[in-house]
Amino acid sequence: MALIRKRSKKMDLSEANVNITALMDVLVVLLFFLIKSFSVSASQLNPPKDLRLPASMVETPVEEALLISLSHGELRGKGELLTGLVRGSFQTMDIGDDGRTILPLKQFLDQEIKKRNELYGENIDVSKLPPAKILIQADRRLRFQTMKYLLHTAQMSGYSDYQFVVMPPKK
Amino acid sequence: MLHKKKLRNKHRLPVIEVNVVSLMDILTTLLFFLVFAANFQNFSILEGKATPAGTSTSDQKPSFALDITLLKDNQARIYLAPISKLEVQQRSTLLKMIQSRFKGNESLGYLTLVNGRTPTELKQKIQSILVVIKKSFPNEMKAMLTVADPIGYQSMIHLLASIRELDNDRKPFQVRSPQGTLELSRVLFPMVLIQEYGGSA
Repeated sequence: MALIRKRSKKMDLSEANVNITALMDVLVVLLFFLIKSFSVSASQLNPPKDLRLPASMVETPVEEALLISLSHGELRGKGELLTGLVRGSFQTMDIGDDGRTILPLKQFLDQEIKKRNELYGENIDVSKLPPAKILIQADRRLRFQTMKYLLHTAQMSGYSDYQFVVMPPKK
Repeated sequence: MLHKKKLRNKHRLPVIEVNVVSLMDILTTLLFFLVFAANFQNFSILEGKATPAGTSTSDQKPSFALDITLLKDNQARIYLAPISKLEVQQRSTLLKMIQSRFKGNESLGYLTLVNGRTPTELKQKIQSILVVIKKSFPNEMKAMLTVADPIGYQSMIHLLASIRELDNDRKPFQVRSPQGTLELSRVLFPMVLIQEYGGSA
């Protein structure tokens, strides 16, 4: 009985028309804006929270390369933690006998270059491949004293082309 | 009369309701996908190269060499290797600039110390010198950036960008293209080799 009463109440209600024209307008405008600003970039860059990228006016788009992140506290390769830093300096145990090579990074880069060579080596002479590129996301507050270890290690592993990730300066 | 008839016809047309529910579904799904996937941070890259290992200049034929050493955030040193055996365009302008700003001679090359009150001023002064050098060597693309240990990464990036290309707020300069025509350019030395001060990186 109660169900029938409920139904009859529903039937009595007048049909309400919701005007969604304005909503549709907003949605379509938003959609166009998002599609326009949507970048289909090769690399997805998500810098760690404590990393502040340097500012520069350059507008060269990011290319696909091996991503290395260096902040005051840690060194990461493709997002994977390689080693920690103490107040923006590498720990002595991470530095090789030459006093310049970062051992965990060297190991990581060697593995990556090996993978690259295995991938292309079947069809192409590896020596004819273009130099391997490294994408460096480093904190702008770091000193070259720390950066030079990274650059040196990359070069030692065959990554002689550096790409420094920058952001447009804040206005 | 004709207008009235048209109006009457319009009134007779049945009201058609378009079902936009499915369209709304698609739009909303697309919107959510784009909002989550969109990257609103605008990243760019600055390219640099490592100095090739084991290069010796002693047994090579004379070639263009330009080295910018960043000693402090507001102090740099520019070294231009001997140019006597090189093909130089606008030689008189270059020699005038060398005489006024550089020290050195034909056999050893030329050296100057550039100071700025701020890193920005230093960058501007360096660019003014690089423009004159570029005009004289329009086909040269390489320059060396040598950085001292205490220099901040941000300062290094600033100078790297300045060596590669003229700042946006500066007017482009006229340079002779390989075809011999004069054209406006902002490009200075886009291939920058980075090394450590006091030894190669």
